[in-house]
Amino acid sequence: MNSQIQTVLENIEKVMIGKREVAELSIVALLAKGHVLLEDVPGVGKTMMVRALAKSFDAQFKRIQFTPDLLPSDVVGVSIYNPKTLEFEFRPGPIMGDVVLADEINRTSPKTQSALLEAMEEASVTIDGNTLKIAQPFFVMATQNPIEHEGTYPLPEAQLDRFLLKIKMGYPSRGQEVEILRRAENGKPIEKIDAVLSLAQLIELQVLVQGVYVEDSVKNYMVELATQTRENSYVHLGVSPRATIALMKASQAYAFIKGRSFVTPDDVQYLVPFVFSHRITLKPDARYDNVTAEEIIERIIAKTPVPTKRFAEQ
Amino acid sequence: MKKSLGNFVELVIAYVIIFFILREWLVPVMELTNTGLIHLFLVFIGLALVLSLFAVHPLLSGLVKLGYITWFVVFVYSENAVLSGETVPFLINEVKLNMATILSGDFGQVSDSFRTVLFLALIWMLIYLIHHWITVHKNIFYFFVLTVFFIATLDTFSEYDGKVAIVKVVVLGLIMTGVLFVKRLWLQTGAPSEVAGKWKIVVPMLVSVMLVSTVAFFLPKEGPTWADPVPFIQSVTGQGESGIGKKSVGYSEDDSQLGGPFKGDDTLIFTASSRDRHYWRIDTKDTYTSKGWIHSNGNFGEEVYQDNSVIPTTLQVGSPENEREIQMDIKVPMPFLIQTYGMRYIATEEPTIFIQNMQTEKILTKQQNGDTKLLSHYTLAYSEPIYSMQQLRLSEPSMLETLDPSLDRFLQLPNTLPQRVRDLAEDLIQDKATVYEQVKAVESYFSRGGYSYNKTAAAIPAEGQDYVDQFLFDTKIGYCDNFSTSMVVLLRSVGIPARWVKGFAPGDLGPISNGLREYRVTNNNAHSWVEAYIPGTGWIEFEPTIGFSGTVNIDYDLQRESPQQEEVLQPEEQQEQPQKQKTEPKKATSSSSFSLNDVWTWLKKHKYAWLAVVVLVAIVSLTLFMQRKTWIPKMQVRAFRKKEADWTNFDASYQVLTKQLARIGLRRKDGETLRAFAKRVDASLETDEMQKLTAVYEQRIYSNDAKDVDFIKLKESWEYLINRTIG
Repeated sequence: MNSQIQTVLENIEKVMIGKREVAELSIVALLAKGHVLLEDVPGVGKTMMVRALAKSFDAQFKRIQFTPDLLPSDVVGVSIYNPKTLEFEFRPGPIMGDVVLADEINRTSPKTQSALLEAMEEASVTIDGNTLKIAQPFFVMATQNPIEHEGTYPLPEAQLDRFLLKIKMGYPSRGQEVEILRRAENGKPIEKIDAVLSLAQLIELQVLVQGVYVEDSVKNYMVELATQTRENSYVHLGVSPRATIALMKASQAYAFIKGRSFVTPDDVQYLVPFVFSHRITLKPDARYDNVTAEEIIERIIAKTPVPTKRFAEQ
Repeated sequence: MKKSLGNFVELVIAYVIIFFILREWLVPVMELTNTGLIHLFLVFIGLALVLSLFAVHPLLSGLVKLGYITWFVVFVYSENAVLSGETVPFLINEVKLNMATILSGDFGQVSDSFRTVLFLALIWMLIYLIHHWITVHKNIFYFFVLTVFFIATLDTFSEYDGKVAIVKVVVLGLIMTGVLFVKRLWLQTGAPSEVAGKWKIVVPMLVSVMLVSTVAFFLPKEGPTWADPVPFIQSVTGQGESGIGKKSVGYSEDDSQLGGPFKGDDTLIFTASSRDRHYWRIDTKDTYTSKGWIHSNGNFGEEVYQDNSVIPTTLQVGSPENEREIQMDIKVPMPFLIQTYGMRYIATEEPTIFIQNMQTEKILTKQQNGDTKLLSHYTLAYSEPIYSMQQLRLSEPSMLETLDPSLDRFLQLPNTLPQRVRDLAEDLIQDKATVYEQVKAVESYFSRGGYSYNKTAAAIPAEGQDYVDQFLFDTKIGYCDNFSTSMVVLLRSVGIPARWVKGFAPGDLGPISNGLREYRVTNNNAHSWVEAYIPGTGWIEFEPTIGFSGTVNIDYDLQRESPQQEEVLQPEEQQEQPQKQKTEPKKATSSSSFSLNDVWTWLKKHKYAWLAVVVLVAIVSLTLFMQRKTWIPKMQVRAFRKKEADWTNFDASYQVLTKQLARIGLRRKDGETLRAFAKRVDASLETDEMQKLTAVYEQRIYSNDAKDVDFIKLKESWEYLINRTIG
């Protein structure tokens, strides 16, 4: 385990009980310069998670609560006429933060959704013909509630593809929930944690992650997994090459977190469900047979041979 | 209930089909063994099938079958009525008798009743197997293929005609295979099993099987692409003694028109009980007419002998001390003697006069008053002649020029004999220093020269065509007459006296009793061969026909040339080994005529030795195979200890380890990563060494920079793991 990441994780765990995996995956996305789609019911600590993460890196935290009447300018910002200076002045929207929580993303109109997603992909916003770069690091954590579908605008596949990982939060265990209550007795724990790394250090780490080695046989393995999703009989649309790139970047970040300078198939196998499951569209048959995307991916992992030799020796 | 009834009906259909297929097995067996009572066997099959159909308790079913077998034996083999007072003593006696025979290892002598019991037991087992195939494997294909193979083999190699049987078996077998396939399909897919649904598949299947069979049956069929394999196999394996002779009949007097196809006739002519294998000599002929053989003109006279008095012939006889006897049992009495090489005298029950024709050496049997006498039993005393190789080697070709004029008739050849026959003979004997070697060269020519043995494909020479010339150069295919006549003509054309001998080949082997082997000679064994005159030795028999081996005894006394050893050479000692020498002449004279026969003889001679070797090797290999997970790793640990500790050897050792783990059941699955596998291995072996090794190996294969590692430690981990797998 990388020692710097270890301290961040410990810091987050002061607020988040028993959610180490989610924290780890969030850091994976952060280090791989990707964004996360958190899917779960309200109140399991999604916001707390992002806030703790932002605080640990001493990052600016912004939150956008998506509602049906939210306009794109509410997200990216707007130019306002200043009668004093007789000029239009740009007022940046909440997207201009380091760590942005886009809460209930599926509640807003597709127009606003796409404004956010464009900003995520390009790391820039365009207002009145001016393109403004969003300062790095830029990390969006979007949440959506998978249970309530009334009055929602489900994200189209092309936009889901923009999220590096899709993570589910899950309920805490009985003991963990008791611990949560215990800590909530004495005020808000989130107020009590401090930054452990600076933003500059985070950017350094992001550069280091890019140097994690991926042996060709492992790349081949990733491609093989992606190909399998395209050839599966339950899958209507398999994953795109963008997904394969995402898998590699995430694997690099994960290997880095685990303190390794190279990616192993274990990293890949661990991450494939988080990277692929929201990027494949299933045929109706799958629903009839009660097969989920996660199960299909599990089967693909089980049957795709793991490389046990260097690519040159195969 | 409905479902189980459906299953039962299916089983009944399957069993009915099986019954008819089994019937096709029984029919040829009954036909070929001349066993009647096929209905009794069929009843047994039916009984066994019904018992297994109703899943009768094994104990009860066994008792019923045993009861039937007992009844069968008593009914067929006991003269007394079943269930009479004699039944039990009869059975006890049978058991005693056969147990004694088996214990003494004389398997040929078990009684028919016992054979029947064994056969029924075999059917019993077969039905058990079939039951298993149908109910468990749902696959009868092997049995089906075996049946087809069985009938095809019998049709090819025996007189049984499987033309109809094979059609029946194929149709029945296809239906059976189809039905079971449907059944299997059903079980695999878990499809609904209502009867109507099944018929939707079964009926088209039945229709297509019937359609295919009918079309196939009525389609015009091309003749066989391969020649009949029987003569070829027989000639290769040296079993060709059977099925030789003249057109349609075995031994006949008239040989003036040779050639043409030959029809087999297995009428038993005589049986002979003898220690040795013999060529049965009857008659010789001296004049070749370019179409066949006749006797030369001229009066050569006759000699008259009494029984028990020595009958001399022009042939050599072994020393009197080695005299042995043959019991001849003539089934088709003939007015002449069947002689052997080394014959001394004949003993008969009633006084008989033997009249020897000095020209042909045929010996007629007469009564005192001169009437023809047909002997049905006599004893032939003989002493096998042994020819000295040293003596044979002294036969220089120049000696042929000073031969006795009485041998001139054995040099006769027709004027019309084509020159190319003479040229061939000259070619063959070129470079051969002795007459004996010349003769052997001609004898072995046929097996080298591309000739083949065939009873039916022998040609009849056309008008003006020479029988020998046609065989030697045009057809190259024929039976004993072709080979023997050609050899005689070839020998004569280079001045070696030779004659054509008629009689019978040794015959089929029967059982052994009191050290004597019974030889059964049928008309199929009628044979012709060659006798050549070797100067200094005399007449010796030769066997040019492919697939036959002669019975000449040659004493290879050549190596005993030092004077001291020559003194040691005793006649008794020479003759102690006649059996062994029998097959050796070919080997000694021409290395190219090394035949399967020699190998077979050698194998037979050392039967127990090689059997023991084979069994030993099998046991050792089996043990090694079973114990491979113990000794292979030990060897490998030793091997790797010697090797240097570096990356290459580390990789190799890791591979060895995974293989060894696979042997003890820890096999990495396709989708399992090395780390997950290592974890599993460590959990199973209760260590953590595999994870240590794997971490290093992972770095080796997935990273771009190999760190320094402590190979000594890795090696220790590796050895520890390997030893864990053995322990």
